[in-house]
Amino acid sequence: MKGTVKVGITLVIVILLMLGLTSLAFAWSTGYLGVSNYAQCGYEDRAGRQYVTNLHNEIKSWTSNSYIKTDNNAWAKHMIVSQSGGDGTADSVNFFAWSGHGLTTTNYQTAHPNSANGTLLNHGTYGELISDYNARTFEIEWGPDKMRWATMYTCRFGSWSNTTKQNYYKKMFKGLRLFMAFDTVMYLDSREGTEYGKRLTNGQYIRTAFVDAAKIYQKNHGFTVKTAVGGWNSAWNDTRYSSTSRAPNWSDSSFTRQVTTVS
Amino acid sequence: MRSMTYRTVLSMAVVMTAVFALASCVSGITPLKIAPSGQHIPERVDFLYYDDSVKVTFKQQSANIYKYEGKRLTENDAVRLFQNAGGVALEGDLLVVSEQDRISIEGDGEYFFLERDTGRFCYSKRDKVYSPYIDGNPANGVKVLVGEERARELAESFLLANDLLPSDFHFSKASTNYVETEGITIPTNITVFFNRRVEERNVYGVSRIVVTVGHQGEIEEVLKLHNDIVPFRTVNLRPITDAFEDVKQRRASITFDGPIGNAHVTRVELAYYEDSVPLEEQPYMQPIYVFWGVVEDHEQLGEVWNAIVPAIDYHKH
Repeated sequence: MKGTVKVGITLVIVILLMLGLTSLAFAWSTGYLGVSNYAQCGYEDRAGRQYVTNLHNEIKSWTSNSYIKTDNNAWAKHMIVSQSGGDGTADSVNFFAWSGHGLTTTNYQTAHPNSANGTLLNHGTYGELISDYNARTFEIEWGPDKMRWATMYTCRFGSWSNTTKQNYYKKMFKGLRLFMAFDTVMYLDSREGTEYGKRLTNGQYIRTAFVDAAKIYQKNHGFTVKTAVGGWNSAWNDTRYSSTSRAPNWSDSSFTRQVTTVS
Repeated sequence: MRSMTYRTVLSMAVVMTAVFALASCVSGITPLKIAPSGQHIPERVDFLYYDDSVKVTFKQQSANIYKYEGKRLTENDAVRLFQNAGGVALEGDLLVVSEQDRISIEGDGEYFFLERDTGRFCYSKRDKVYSPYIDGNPANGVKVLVGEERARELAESFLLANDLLPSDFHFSKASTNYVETEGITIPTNITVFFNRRVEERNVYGVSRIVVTVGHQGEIEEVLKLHNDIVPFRTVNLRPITDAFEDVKQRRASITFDGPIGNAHVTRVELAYYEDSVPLEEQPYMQPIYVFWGVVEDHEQLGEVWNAIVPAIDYHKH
């Protein structure tokens, strides 16, 4: 009789532990970088800070936030792999989003904050391309640590306009399951963050939640806007309930990229 | 007597303040917040305007402002619009969820939401619209698409048949969506865009009707992203030179769709801008200037940049 009770208690403990581990495994950690203040670029404000704040507010009830770094606290080195001088901040969470400027060159894209990794340098004086305020696609590898879903709410970070850009794009996938971005120019509207977050919370596929939000809020300013979502075929239908296990590195046979014209 | 005078003066002051406040409220136009591009434009880029070569495509010095028509749509309206947009699920099988600002409907693979106050809506057969395969199932093979010209015809016929194409909307473009997988590109469907023209002028911003056409011409998605409008009042336009100062100072929404460099204006367009904010934040569709131009040393590419700024001087209205 005593033995039966012990077995019963042990089983209950094991089940509780499993349930606990499962819920832990499926609760996302999140991190955000968003820039609205571009004083060093001579720009009017952008809506980058508000976009990530709105996105966070919509999904915070079921995620665990590690950081929201905005304006002059959002740095390029946060997004860059350690071999290129990065500090691994972006890759330390499951779900990451950047919102702000993107810069296009012939062969690579950059996410372009205002601050030069904590120092304020005028971009006109120092030139727009210096590494201190550019996270360049060829310096990024996401997923060796924790990142599984990345959202780059900026211009052209998902562009494949030539082979070099394609190769840099594919090289970013080092465990990343899905990557939500734009193939073209896009327009910053913080309400798109709210819409995206609502849809994630409702359990919609992550990639379609991002594109649906863009369909509603992206603008017609006379130029075409296209989203570009890339990812591992086995993660294609990921939702908020999906596993946070690593994806393999990009290979053309097991990864897909989808381009949708939204405006 | 002194008391009376004091009271009279005080009353007059209160009345004048109230009248002034009311007048300001009536005449005040909420400034447009035009969405900026998520694109970095280096400080070295100059914006240049040569009076003798710039084509100004209008002569007027005033323009109309339009007010968005507020609505308060009900669940019955939502079901009706769901059906107009192509929804086929039976009414008894629909899951209808009402929230403060929107009504959502889910049927068998169909998703719909309606903004209560604006009438903007989205209808989607989501599993189909994001898949290159027939009915979203790879086992069925890839979709057979009809081509962009035929997709345009089908989209237009569908909208007209369902009373969803107001006369001020016109076809603007059709674009084929696609996936790239296993080294090959597979078309997903064709999206057809209809944009608004008011007083023969383009309306930029979110104002559009969108139809996505999939396998053998099936309508997979319908988006109505505009408000109904009524004329509100006429305002004087600000001088183009003032507006161009805003462009030079980057107080504008500037887009380069190609190489970035010194930007020469070739054309100035008077147009309208429709935003997607709640009506209490922006009740008016307003005139804008769109500066179009070429990039130095890349003139052969044509007009690859533009800058959008309000055409109203808000200090005077």
